[in-house]
Amino acid sequence: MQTEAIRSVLVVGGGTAGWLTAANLAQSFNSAEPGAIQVTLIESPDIATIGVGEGTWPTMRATLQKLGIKEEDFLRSCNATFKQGTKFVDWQHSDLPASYHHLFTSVSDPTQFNLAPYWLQGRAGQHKSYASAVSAQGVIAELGLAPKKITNKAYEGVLNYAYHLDAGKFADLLKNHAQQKLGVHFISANVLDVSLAIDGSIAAVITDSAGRQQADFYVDCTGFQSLLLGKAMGVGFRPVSDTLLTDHAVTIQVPYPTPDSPINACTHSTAQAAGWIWDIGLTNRRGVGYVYSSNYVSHEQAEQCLRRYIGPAADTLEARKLAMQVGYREKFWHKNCVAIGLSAAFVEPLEASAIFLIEAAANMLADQLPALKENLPLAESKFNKSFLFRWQRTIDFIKLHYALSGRTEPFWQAARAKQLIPQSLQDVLQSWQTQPVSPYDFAHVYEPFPMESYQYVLYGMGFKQQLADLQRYQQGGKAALYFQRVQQLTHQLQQELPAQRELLAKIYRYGFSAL
Amino acid sequence: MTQRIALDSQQHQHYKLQEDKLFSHTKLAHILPLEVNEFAAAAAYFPIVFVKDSNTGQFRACVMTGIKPGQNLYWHQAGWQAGYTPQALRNYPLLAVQPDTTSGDYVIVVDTQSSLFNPQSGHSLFAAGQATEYLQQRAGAAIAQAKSVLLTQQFIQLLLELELLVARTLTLTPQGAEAYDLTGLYLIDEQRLAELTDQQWLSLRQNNSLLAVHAVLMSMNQVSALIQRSVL
Amino acid sequence: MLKSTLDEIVIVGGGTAGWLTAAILAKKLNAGKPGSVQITVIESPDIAILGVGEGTWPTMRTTLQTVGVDEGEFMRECDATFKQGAEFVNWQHTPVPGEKHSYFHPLSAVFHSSYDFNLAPYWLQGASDLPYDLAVASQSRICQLGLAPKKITTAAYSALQNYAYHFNALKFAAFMKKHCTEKLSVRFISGNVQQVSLHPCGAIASVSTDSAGEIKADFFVDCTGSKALLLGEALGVPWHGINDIIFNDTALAMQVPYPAPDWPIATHTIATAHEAGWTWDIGLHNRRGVGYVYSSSHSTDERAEQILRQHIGVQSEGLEARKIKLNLGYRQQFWRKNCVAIGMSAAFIEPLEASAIFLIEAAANMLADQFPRSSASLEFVEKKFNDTFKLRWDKSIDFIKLHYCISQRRDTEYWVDNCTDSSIPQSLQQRLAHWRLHPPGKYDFDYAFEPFVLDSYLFVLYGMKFNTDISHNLSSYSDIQSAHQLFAEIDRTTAILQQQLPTHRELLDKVYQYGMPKL
Repeated sequence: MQTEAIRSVLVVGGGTAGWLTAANLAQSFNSAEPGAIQVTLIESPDIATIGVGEGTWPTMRATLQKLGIKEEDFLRSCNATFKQGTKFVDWQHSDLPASYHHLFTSVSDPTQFNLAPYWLQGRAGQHKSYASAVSAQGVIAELGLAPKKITNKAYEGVLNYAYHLDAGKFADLLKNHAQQKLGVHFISANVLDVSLAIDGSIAAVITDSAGRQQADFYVDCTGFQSLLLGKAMGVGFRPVSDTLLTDHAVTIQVPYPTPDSPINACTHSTAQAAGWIWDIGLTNRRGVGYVYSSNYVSHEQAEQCLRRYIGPAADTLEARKLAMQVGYREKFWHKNCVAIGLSAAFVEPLEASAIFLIEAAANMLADQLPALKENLPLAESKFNKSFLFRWQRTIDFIKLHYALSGRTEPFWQAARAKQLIPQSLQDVLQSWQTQPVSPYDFAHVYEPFPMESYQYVLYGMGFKQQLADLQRYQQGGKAALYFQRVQQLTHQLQQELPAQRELLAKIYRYGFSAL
Repeated sequence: MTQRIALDSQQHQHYKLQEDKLFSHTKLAHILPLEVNEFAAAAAYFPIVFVKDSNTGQFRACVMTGIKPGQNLYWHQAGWQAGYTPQALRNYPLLAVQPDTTSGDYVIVVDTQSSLFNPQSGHSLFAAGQATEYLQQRAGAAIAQAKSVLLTQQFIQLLLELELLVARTLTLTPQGAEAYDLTGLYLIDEQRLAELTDQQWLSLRQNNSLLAVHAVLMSMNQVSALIQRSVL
Repeated sequence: MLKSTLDEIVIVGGGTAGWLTAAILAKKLNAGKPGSVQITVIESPDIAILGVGEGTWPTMRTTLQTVGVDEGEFMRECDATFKQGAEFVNWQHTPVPGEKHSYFHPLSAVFHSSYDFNLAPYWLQGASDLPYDLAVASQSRICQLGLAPKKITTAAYSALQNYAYHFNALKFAAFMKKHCTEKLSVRFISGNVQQVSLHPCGAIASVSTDSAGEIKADFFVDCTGSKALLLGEALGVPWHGINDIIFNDTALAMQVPYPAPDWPIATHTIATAHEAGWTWDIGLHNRRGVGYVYSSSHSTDERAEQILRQHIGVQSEGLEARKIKLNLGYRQQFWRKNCVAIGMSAAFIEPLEASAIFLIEAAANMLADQFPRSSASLEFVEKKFNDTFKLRWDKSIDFIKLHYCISQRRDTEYWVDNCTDSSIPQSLQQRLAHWRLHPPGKYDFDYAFEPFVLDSYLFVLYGMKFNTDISHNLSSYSDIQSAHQLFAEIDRTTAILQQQLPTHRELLDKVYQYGMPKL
């Protein structure tokens, strides 16, 4: 029986996952204080980090604030911009242009008062889209306006927001901050081998330039390689390529034509013949990429498609191709090791789940890392249960986008084939044909995507819902007030909010007020 | 502290009642009770607000006579400073109460702490065991007030049913002084009023309450007059 | 065969469960309006209603407000009083004769939530001199002083300190019946159900009554108490007993008048541990309800009555004790086909922590929110309902068991058995092991409909002087300054509330006389 205390954590691998986890742990343990649990990170000086997605969720604001990073410093050093949701273009049909928004702000929290039944009955106006009925944010994002003013406090918005960021620069910022302010020890070395103890837990990692490194607990942030959890401990990988068909991405970094070109205020996601193209605006460039299935399009065709999307500006630019392993580990936590980031799981970046789930994992680890080794099994089972649920629900939510599409290309027909839709998603979809989406469908506190996200996608994709009981919705007056308020806000915020680039320029000059 | 007992022809046969045209008992009162039949007359001089009775939790209608507790801007040693005096002031220290609501009979009670009620000077109340004409006239006025109290309660009930009352904090900024908040006031919500259904409008009209509602709204103009008065 | 739309709902059984369910369904589904559902309650004129517990949860305020009940009228009609929590007397260790010890589980830890900033690790480090219940909640002190949770000027259903109710369950059922039939278009049939007929598919087709013949409906709610005429007898859903975990299968109840009309009324339930169970003491406006819940395998009925009378003292002389058998456990399914059981037909634990009425409200609300007008959705809702309530009952059982299994009492076999590992659910054992070294946190409560939340666990654990050793990880709890600020703020609030709040009886008398302001 082990009764040793856990006094040190070794994070293997840098990048967004490694540094975000190390920083979060060190902040939670107060590692800079004497006597606290020590956090060390080993990063290879040779391996280039993969920028896992460049979009975040609004949770990132709380995370950065918790770590003690000033918002203006973050924005400046990561070429970051404000993200107010995602605009989905051409997801519904192949030949009929249409788009919809998945936004971060709604006028009413649907778990408290659900406006959808009233919108369905035309109470918001006969031809009003769901997103524009319940939120002013779609119009604001479309106009390229910022979610806040220079007079708003740091991390506070008039509208809810997340970020677009340069993942490489973000890792650098965290690396400096974690070492200088939070007491994380840094070792630059290549991991050559991982040695296991007799009980199958990790005993040490062997490096080329820093010898043998031991700790009481290990975090595997080594990306797709999964050196610790996958290779050394032999925890299997469960691919979900039968559910989510995309397996490659080709990306191009596109500079703006002029330094004052407007910056998109939301991610654009445009459906293509065998996948979809993301288009993200940073301050200095756009990041554009085509996520596709190599079973339905050749790599050359995919690159051509991406270049056509960008236009002549792409001619002189270089494209980079990435292979994606879509799926998750059978366990995320095994004995004294937990995998966070690509080593744990990956799904296509459609809803910016990658960084969001890194934050969630780091938060839970920081809170739940047991004091004694003998208590590892309980923490392990809780963590695995929680994250298996979160990844499965993430897969459901991404699949939802495909399941509702009416596009006709072979890729899309295959993507919505009923036998490939997870049973849990089929069940709710059947229920939602006659029943409203309800908080009872989201019964876990750590549901990765909330009820309102599902509603934006469902109604944006033109899901046909015929509510069986219309008599129960007798609060038309209250609903009308909400719809009215959205119109007022839409009008008012257009006048008040600055353009995204204008606000960023001001922040670079003045910073935010602390209060 | 008021202490009320019923007037009794035996016990109080030698007592007298003085009149005080200055209404000195209100010198420190920033709100004074008002009944619904007085709204139209009072609206030209005071803001009319609703407050909760701290003893019963029930709403009362009141005029504001000051902008902070302990201040009555209408009281002056030269005389009452408004063109209207609420009936409760005029009837003081008498009050009519109905101990048994089924019989409908009223009993006249008096605030024994008031110096206006004394054995020395003023109008006699009883003569030969009978109420004097003076007392009969004062008692009549007190009973009229008691009846209008019932009307006021019905009016407030209607406002509550129609959800027309809202809690408002008045932020007052007297000239040259710090702004401060006066809380615990309830006003008629104009926006709610505009949103009433036709049927609800009709209920206001049938209850003869439209005039009172408008008087309350109009009386809000007196808030600035009150603040003006406070800096003079 | 079921119709494609479900339009007629029949609730079999009145009582708290039946009438509360009827009110919530009728209100939320706009019963009686054209095109809406029709709701009928069939209540037996013969069966005396068993008043399950007289304590509620704060959720009852939202429930009553939602169904359109005037709070003042409800309190007056049901002899109701304000409940601000529970005091647990003599639970922690075997009491020395003549002495007592206790802790509070108040309903609110007002100005902070443990989900935002958990004070427990700081309290464990000695950052406050007070016991846990007094350190983190003003309400414990307010309860000790017998003060009300609000003022007469506070609007109906609003609170200065979170509150629930104590009430007379019989009067409450009668009050809700009147409200349902007069205001909410609920149809009422007085009759005894004699037979239940099924469709070939196994769903319920109709019930036959002695006085009103055969009554058909599309959906049935079984509120027939522990008999479970519909779900249990007709549909054959088995019962899952929990006597291996919770032992208190019998109750003896007494109604005790106040010695004087102006006698103080306790504003919390007093739960006192004894040799084979515990006594409840609930203050209504006109009397106290006192009872002893005990394990019949650890005590004879005679001994139990003796304990109860001793506990009440001279006032019990001449009063009659009523004995109630409690059926502890839950149905393996709460919903099958077109029938759902709510109330004791579905489950019952024991009255500790007043979970009975609370879970009736929760079930009725979910049924109303999710009611499948289209029978195509029945199966999906059935599964969701069964999954969530299985979880809620299991979690409630864990929480009730917590009160017993961390006690230091070993004075009788009853307490020894209660603290034996084999009687403690695995899920609770695991958590207790974790909490020996880590204070409970939000990750221990990851279900959205968790019946008992983090704050409740903290009050019981640290009220019972449960030992959490955090010495291994002190550096994680170094925000001592914020903790001190919060403790000081709670002290200040306690002082202000003490000055402002009337006594419980004082407020009740006024509420009974004047009612409560609407806003």
